[in-house]
Amino acid sequence: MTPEPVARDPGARPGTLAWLLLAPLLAWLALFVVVPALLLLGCSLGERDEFGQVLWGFSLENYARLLDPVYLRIFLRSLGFAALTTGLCLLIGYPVAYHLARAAPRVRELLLLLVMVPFWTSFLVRTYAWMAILREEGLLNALVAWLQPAWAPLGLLYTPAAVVTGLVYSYLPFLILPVYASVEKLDGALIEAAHDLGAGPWRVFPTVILPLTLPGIAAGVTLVFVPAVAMFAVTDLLGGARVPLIGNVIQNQFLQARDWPFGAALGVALLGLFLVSQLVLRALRPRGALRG
Amino acid sequence: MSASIELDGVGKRYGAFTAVREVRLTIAAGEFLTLLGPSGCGKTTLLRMIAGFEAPTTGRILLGGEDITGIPPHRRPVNQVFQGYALFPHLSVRGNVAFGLRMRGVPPAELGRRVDDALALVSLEGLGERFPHELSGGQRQRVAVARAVVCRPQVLLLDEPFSALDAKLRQAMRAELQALQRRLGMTFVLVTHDQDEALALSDRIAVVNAGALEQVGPPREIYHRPATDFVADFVGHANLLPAERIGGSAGRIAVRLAGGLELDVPAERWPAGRGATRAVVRPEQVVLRPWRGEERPAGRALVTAVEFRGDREHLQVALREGGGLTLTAVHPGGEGDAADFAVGAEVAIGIPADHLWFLPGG
Amino acid sequence: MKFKTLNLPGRLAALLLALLPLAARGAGQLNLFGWSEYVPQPVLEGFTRETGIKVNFETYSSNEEMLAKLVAGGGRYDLVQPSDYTAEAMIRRKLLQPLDRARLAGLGNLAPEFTGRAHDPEGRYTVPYMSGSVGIVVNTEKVKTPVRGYREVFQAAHRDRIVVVNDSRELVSWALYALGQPVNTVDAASLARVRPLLAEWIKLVKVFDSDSPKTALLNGDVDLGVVWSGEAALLWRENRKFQYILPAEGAHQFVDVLAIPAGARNVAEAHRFIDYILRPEVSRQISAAFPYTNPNLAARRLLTPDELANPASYPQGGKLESFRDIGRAAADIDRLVTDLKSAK
Repeated sequence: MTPEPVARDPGARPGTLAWLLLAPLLAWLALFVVVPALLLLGCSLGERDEFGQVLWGFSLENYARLLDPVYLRIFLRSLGFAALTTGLCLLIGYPVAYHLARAAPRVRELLLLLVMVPFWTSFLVRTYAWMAILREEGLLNALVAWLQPAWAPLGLLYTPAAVVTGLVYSYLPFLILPVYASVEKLDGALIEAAHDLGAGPWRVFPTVILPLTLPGIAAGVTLVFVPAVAMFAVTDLLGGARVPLIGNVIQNQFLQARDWPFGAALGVALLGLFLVSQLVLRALRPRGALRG
Repeated sequence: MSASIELDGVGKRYGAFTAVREVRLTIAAGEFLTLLGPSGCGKTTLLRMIAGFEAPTTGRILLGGEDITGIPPHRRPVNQVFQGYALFPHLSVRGNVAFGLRMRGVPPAELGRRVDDALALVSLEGLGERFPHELSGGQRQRVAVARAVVCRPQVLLLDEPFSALDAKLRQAMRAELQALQRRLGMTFVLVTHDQDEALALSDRIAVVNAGALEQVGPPREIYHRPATDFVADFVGHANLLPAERIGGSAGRIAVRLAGGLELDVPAERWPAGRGATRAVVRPEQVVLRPWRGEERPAGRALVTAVEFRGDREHLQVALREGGGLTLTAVHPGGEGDAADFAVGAEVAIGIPADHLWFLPGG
Repeated sequence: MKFKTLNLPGRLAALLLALLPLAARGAGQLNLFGWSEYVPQPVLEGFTRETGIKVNFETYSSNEEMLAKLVAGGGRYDLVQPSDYTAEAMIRRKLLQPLDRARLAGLGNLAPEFTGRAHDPEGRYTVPYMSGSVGIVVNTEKVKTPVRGYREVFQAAHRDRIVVVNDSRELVSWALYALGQPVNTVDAASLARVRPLLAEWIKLVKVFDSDSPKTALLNGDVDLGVVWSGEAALLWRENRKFQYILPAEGAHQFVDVLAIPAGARNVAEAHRFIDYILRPEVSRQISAAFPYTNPNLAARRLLTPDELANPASYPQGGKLESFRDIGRAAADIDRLVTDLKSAK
């Protein structure tokens, strides 16, 4: 049954108690998010001296360097990888989340647990596990050799495919969980109503289910896309560090090239990118009573 | 074009539990039929089977003579008004109403016209751009009705459509719904546990109990001539008094009721071939007047409880000679003689013989 | 120069540790800042047992990282372990303090070719720790043709079977060697010259790995590569099919040194540690764990024949050269290699 809208006093403001409870969170946000972001911004306006130290100042030179086709290409490639990863996660994760949400309660709990079990192991260890699976003398090739001895071993490790596999594997749960939450809130009666009104099983999805689970999808997409763009460990390990992504370039600036201001400028650019994408996502959100 | 529905031996079992037992029922085209029964009796299951959301384990369902048992819900020319309305929150009122037409590929011009018509039909013109969360309960219900009706189904199903509304609104909506059905001439099947609703709206009522039909018939028949204890007691209130045939002469049968009351009833009202059965005495059939101390003892009673209902009072009266048998009686409200029928008052009851009903099943 | 760098958690841990304020004072303490996987734990424990000095050991995985923290942090570290060209830059910038050679009795143990090197001709600021080279390692079971130089490594026949260290400066140096150019002249002109050659080479590489290039070789994902001698030595220990050769065109020899930062507080303890390392039996412990080229002759005499025979630890012949500090050009190198890698 659709509940009546809760009347809220528009003039009410959070009381002292509310601010007190929020204070630790706000302090944490200020100290670990706002201040570092400002430092980053400040650093990006500086320059590197002979010795690799940061000379604080005001120079837009680093931002000009960003426009170098070398780095633009890397940005685009990183976005492409992240988009591919996000797309695959959606393709695989959405059906999983959907069926998870509509499964019987006990089965559902077990399946949810299975989705979250990988988090009990460190991310890096899991990536190494993939290396063990994908390498030439690894588990996958052992399986292939056992099934089809005539086939040559698959050279999967150190390829872009391996990188995407690793990324999708790592980020899949981040998509499944928000979508699951969204689907769970879906009123089954709505789907029946759609059927009743003539929507076949395939049409119900785009007309009713998809629009109503859009908040979950949006959340999931953000949780996957944003970290995937800046990923560098997976490319190094599974990709053999062959194709530099923006994360690798930034890492290089801080370690090997010792050009912190430029690295900071790259970081600021990434941040800007995310802000823009968030604004776009918000604008695309459907009207109506969809609250998360 | 509305159609008839035939339920031919339709039953539903969930494992060991039987929700619906082999129901045989024909609903005429254009009829307003109510499935009435208590919670869990299977009436909703029946409705869902007609809609196509549940598949019967036995039997078939025919719509206008055609077997639709195997047809999925999205292809049945049947539409439903859901209990919670199930309005699509992401679509406006117009969007909701237009949904079914969109699914059928109705061209935009015609679609717009039909949506306007449907909104006018339920008096919601001008609210087309609102969203469900911006509407009141009554308005939402109307949208749900419009959405279903605009598709011109052969049968409209309604699942407890008024349960979320307050009493006043419920009455108003009831009247509107009835007018709508008359106007459209569409077959309506309503599911409810509210007998007032059933009595007021239906052309026929099918009383459902534990998965089976106890009685099907027009409201007056259900009320005045219940076929079983259950129907008698579920629809309206019934005082079931043991009745014994003690004699008879031409055209009339002498009956003694519990409590010592003796009556002569028309022969045709007594179930043939039975020596004893039960009489269904409706509260409004019990005649009350203050005890004046001079009558024969039969019919003498004491008021043990009074329930004020505004326009009338429900009284519990205990028969002196009935071994404590208690009847529910109704006394018209009105402040004048309230004291005569207060708790503790002595009253005389009378039961008119001609319109008494005796249960055929005993 | 030790490049067996830490993985991500290690780097993060090192960065985090660097941010924590260290209690650098207190007699009986030594704040050692060194390469990861370069100073064996038993050596540290032995030092503490003998002297009672507690060693606070922090690690880094690149010279640049070390410099960054040192310059930012001040007198927190008492002993650092830069590579030769980094030490050179540090001396120029007065980041190191002179050593009191009187306190270092074991200096005589060092082989003469490791003292008096360009970065510190009079050995006033640094003491060699370990040396090594960057050379060619070949899985001789898979690669039958002889591989003697860079050009023979980077051939079409070896496409996708090559591993190299993920170090831009190294890559550029090899190209410079192959072109017969001076390896320490890195400017716009020399970079333009190596660009086409490097572009081709990079396309042939399967794995770039500075942390553990031996893994790819051991797993059979690659057949040959250009790696740190320490990695190659470990490979040879594992299986003698892995042969190590110094490239004919020229090879980079690095010497990692111990030095005391200018702002260090536990100077006496630092000297004691250096002297401890100079002892033959201690130095041989280091060689046993990390089979680089040991500059300590007295220690070498304690090594087993097998250890000495390791072609990666003690390579024969070859044209060896040290890196010099190139200042800003490091950024240009990074840009070039990034560009070439992303062009694939």
